[in-house]
Amino acid sequence: MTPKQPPVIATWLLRHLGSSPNNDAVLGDLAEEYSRKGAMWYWRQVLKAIPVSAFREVRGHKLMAVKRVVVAFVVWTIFVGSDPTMSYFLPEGPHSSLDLSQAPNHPIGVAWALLYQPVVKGYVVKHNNPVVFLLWIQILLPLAVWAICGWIVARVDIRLDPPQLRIHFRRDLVIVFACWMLLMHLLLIGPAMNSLVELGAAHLALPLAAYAVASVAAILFGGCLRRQKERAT
Amino acid sequence: MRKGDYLGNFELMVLLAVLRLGEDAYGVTIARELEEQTGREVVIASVYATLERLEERGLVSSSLGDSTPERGGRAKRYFRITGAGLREARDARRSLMNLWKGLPELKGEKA
Repeated sequence: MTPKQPPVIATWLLRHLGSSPNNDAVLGDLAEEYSRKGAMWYWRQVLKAIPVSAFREVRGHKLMAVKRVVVAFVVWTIFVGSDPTMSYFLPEGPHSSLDLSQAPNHPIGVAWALLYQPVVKGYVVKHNNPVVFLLWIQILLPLAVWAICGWIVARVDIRLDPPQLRIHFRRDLVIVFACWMLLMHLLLIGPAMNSLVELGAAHLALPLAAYAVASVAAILFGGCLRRQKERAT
Repeated sequence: MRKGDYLGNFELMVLLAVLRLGEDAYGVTIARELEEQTGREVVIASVYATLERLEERGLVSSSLGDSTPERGGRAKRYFRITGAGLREARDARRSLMNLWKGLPELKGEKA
């Protein structure tokens, strides 16, 4: 028997992340249909409703949105390009065959190397280095950079009245950026794992998937930091 | 004609569903109607996003109904087609019928 109360977390997510002017009516409709269609249907509807409303709001200011997302992605690319992890661990290490910046020779390979290089390298050098240090530099540093990217996206300078609309727009843009990154991960993680298997590093598959999820969460977290600051002022 | 003037496929379906449902057109009933007619699951938020666009263009109007306990105390938002919406639906029908005429590939059920 389906309980009468819809899933609380899903409802909370839609209430806080849904930006449609009819968000309340959507929540009411979902609650009404929940007893007939069940929890899976409810979750599916919520997870689709959040990007639908965010994309709709952002679509009205496409150019500004694209500029912000490009700036955030450039920051990430500079971080990967500067390669802070490698300067610490692999000056001329024995694992150079896994130097991902050299390996890919097609656009998909370049794209997945760009996304996953810092983390994958961290695991490759694990045997020779203290684990705690790796955790900070190779896992938390990339996640911190993703959070900064989310924060940068949320800094979009837009004049909307009332100010509440501006706050909503920034939140929607962060959601769109996070959704876009999630899509990139979904498209690229398969080829990335294939390449890792070919390189004899299949054990990295699970950490890589966890990192993909964590990076999306970090973007949302970084975007929220900006919102908290706005609320405080 | 400007780019945004044509009704999209989903917009037209939602507009026709509102027309078919008359007084009882709100998110749930519109989504059910579309699911029955198309056989596909419909995202209720997409229906609202489309209705918001149609309302901005003056093709539908909306009003708040009563809230009920089964909806968690939230009110229904009812939609109605406007005169402009009716004209738009007629124009779309005429255009589509003209395009369909004389296409032997679409006469039978088989593709």
